[in-house]
Amino acid sequence: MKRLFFLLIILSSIFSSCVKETQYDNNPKGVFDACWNILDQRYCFFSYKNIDWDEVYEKYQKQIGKNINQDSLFTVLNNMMAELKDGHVNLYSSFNVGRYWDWFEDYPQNYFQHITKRYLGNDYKIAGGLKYTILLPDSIGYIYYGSFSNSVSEANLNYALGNLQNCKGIIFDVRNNGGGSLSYSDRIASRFTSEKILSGYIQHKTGKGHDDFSELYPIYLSSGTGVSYYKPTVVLANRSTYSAANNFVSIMKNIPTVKIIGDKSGGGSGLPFSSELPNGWTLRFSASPIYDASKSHTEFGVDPDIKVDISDDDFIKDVDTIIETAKRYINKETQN
Amino acid sequence: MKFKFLIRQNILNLLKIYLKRTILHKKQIIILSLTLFSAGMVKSQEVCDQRGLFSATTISAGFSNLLDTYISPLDYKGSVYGVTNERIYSPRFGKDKWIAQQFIWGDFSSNNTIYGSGLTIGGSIGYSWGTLYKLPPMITDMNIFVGPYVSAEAGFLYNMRNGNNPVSAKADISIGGSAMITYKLKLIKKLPFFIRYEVSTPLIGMFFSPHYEQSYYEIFSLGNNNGIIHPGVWGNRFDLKNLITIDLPFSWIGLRVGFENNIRNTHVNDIKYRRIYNTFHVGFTKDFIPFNRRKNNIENLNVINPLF
Repeated sequence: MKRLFFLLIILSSIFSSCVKETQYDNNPKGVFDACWNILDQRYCFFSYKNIDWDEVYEKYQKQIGKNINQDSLFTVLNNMMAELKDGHVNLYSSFNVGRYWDWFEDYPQNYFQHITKRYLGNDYKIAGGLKYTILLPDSIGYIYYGSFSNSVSEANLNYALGNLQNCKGIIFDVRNNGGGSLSYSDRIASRFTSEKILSGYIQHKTGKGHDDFSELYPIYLSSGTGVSYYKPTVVLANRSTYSAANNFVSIMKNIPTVKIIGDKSGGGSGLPFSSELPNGWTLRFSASPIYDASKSHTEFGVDPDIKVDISDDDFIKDVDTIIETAKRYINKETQN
Repeated sequence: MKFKFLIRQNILNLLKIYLKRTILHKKQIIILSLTLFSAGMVKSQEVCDQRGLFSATTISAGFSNLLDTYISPLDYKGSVYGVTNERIYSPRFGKDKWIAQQFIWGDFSSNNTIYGSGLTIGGSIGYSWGTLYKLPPMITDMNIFVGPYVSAEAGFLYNMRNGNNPVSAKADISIGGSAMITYKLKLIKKLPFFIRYEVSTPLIGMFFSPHYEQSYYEIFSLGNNNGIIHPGVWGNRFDLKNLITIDLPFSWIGLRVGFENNIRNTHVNDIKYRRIYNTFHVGFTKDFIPFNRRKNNIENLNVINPLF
């Protein structure tokens, strides 16, 4: 009897054995340390980018004084995070969003909405997130997809590709597409391949160390079940083609009938996760790298098959040099 | 009764005729007749003891405390609401030394950081079934039970703020041990209180957890589900449930009030998860007779609560 009561007391007293996580103080030093530690343990590109994160700590912790105000603290943290050179690394507060946008701001824009509007015309159709039309007189289909956050259903693809089925080629434009859902990337790409192909690899961190990674896991792309398109296809990209759109370009590059034309895509191959700081600010960072089919990183973008920028002369004439290059490519391919 | 009596009379008459023929003594006839008659009377007055099915259904409300480092390193606190149904009955085995206990529960919690920066909702449903052995009583009106149980629970946490890691799914099955003390407190004559304290903890099992930074996209969309089921032992998982209830039976129905402290901890793949619920229960209890036993003898039924 006594033993039983003793056992019950022991079990009941194990309340104190609950798992705990280091809780940082809600002061400038605590917020800074939390931010640095979360990235130290969870960010996935330290080794690939050859970043000495300890050195970064020394550099920025000196700027954290006891009386630093919120604006200044935010700026210091944002500058520290910019050392990662990653568009997926953001800091969110109720008064500002910290970001690193050098991956497109330092490059030619290569996309102008008013010029694209000329090609789409006024009678273009909309299927989910897709805007599409037929470019005459070449009879080339043109689809503009501005964000992978806009949904594209199987039915949307059936209608869009069904309408463009008789075109001699399709231009699929993902310029200025900042990403969104990877599921749409797979769904759309599956309509352009007639067979199952290896489209890339994914990896995840297995621990807090900078090099604690799982084995590469292959990603396959199967042929879509709805209306498909296997004629010459061109994907247009620019430096603002980022994240899921960058992944789409990387996948499409493996399909034999597809060419990438335009500028190098913006990159952003790390699947972003979120966390938060003791003062309630939200932190976003790359957590799980996605590789292309040759096991190479695409964090800094995917090179096009045909590199072309919008020329100044064409810009003045409201001509999209990249679309014109794509049209010439399809015309040439279909002549043969 | 009349029908039985007539049959008995006929049997006696036949016996008299038979005994006369076999030249038996009158005294012997009387003794034999009385014996047969008394045996019939005992059978007609037999009361059928039935172990009833004790059921308690409660709703609960209380406080939650959460930590799931897959979602956030910060502690979350909030409120939790739930429904629990408990059933206790005597199984076919055990000769009244064992009881069977079943719990079905569901809960929903709403949690936030102290800054209100990341609303996280959670929910779970679960089932457990166990058998408890009744130890020989040492104190009057007190019973002690110990025994094993199996349980399964599935649940989720959903953080409204996170992008690619908004959900933390929970699923586990386990085999554990329970200990329960019941005490009948007679503060008011004819209106006893039944007090119960029960503690239970899983000893071995399996549970789901992604790898440290593995996304659900990788697990469910791409199909990389290697190593997401983990053996659960006290080294990586520790759960504990403390339950105190007070039942006030009024005839076959009664009132239950209680308090539950429910702790769940896992620590695997550098992902820490802690969930503490402290909830107050209120509901009703009822004694049932299982349908298949009821048809046996409904007139002379003595329903016995399996706990007391």
